[in-house]
Amino acid sequence: MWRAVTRGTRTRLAVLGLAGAVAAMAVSTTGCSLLSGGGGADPGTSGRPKIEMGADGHVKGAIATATTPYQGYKVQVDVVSLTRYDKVTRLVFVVKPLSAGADTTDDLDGTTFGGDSLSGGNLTGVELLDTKNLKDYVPLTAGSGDKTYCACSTIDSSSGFPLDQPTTLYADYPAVPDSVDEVTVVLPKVGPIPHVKVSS
Amino acid sequence: MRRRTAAGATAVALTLTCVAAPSARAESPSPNVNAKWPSPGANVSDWKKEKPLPISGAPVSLQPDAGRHPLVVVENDQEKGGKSFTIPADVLFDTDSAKLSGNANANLNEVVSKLKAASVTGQVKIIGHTDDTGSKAHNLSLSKQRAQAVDTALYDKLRSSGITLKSSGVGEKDPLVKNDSAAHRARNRRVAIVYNTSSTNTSSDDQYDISVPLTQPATKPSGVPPATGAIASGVRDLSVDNETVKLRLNVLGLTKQDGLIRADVQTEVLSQPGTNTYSGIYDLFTGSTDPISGGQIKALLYDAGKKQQLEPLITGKGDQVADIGDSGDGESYGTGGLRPGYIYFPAPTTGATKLSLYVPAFGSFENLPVK
Repeated sequence: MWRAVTRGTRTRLAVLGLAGAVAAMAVSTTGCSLLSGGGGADPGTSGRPKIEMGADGHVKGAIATATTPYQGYKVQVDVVSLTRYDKVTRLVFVVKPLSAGADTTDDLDGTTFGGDSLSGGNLTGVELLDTKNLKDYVPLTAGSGDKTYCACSTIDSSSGFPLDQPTTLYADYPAVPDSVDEVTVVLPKVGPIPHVKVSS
Repeated sequence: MRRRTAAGATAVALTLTCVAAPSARAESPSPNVNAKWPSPGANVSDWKKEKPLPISGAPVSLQPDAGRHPLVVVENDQEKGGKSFTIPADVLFDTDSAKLSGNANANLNEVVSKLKAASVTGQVKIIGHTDDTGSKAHNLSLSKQRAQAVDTALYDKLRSSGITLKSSGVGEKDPLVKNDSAAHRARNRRVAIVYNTSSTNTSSDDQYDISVPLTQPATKPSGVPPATGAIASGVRDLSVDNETVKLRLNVLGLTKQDGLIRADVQTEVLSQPGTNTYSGIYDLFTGSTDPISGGQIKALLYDAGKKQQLEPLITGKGDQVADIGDSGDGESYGTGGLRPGYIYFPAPTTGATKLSLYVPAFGSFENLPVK
């Protein structure tokens, strides 16, 4: 009795596509110049931060954390950073499905933390919600039509998230204005994580 | 179903072209995720081709006003004399008044569209009812005046529909339920639009309909352990393929976040027969098991006193209130598995500190405090 899981996403991508096309006529930036002069630490050549787990099972220095019961497991999310760059906001977070004592070697489906999947990216469902200005940020996309990719971690949904192991993920969003100090990070299955501070 | 309205052309948008950063040195903790990350805002994803693509995107403006409406409560009911579309008098009138309130028009429009959808023709009776408070004579007179007010308002809306209207009032004579509580009295105060339809085939929606009226409070659980952290719970026995699945919905709270209110809920299967796993959680929020067109979430937040209803703004594509997805083993689940869910609603303009949450398959969770 499953329905196609395309609710909203297609429309939204169409909207994004149009906005992108309009913008493309006005602005065209080449190279990585958007990173310079806009503040924000250079995340390094790999872009991937080093994650260290603390004794409590959470990421050391996490700026927000949430644990939610889910299907007899628990899902734990640690937000590592939410950083504003010149034209981009990057969210880095660590997900860890907890077996919570269940006698299982199962894993959680690869779309668990991302909602709808686009080819090449499975975090399109992870959003930033600015409740003050009533704006909702979805991950940036590259390409168009069938060749649309999410500017976010690529997950092989056939292998899933292993239990009790941390997985580090990222997603890039349009830049949040300087006036915005915090947003709500909305994750499928986990729900909203309010009051996540934006750093520059 | 997410409902949102796109930002206008003034929305911030950007287009970037950028070459992906060199590959990462660190190993991925999980083998299923790409180890290579680009610089923020750089092109990412067409890894196989390593071909730069422009990146674009803009925030979407939420439109809370589009989700705020007068409270509409038109129930499909059975009255003396036939089927009825019944509206609580409290929704149409102020206390002891026969003058239609600001909410009336939206409710009467709903009645009109329901009459048309059911292809009703011929005589339609408008019958006013009161509870047993006050004198019989006064109640009789009030019910007649109220029916007449509805008759007058409906008359224009039903021109050339083949329907003739006849209004009457019966006071407190025909209660739907005993006048033994405030909730029951409220249910008895009503205006019934009684009709006969020549069409014998039930609407195609009916066989899929699992919704209960908004005026019906959710059934409180009994004989099961209380849900941890819930401020309200409701249970529902649902017949699925001739077997009964016992479901519980827990409301964890209503939280105001600036101009929005977030409802946090959990769905839970208390029992299900055999080895089957129930996979229709999403339907509990749409009120329909129709596999084709049942997709819209019809949960509502409402201010019963000020008669405003708030429609979902963001529901996380149903993932949070449902196990929608493919047939992967992660998507159906056994007894005891809690599923968290949330719905963002616009905050009411009435300033109410207590609101009611309606979930179609369970009914209303009334007077919940807003944190």
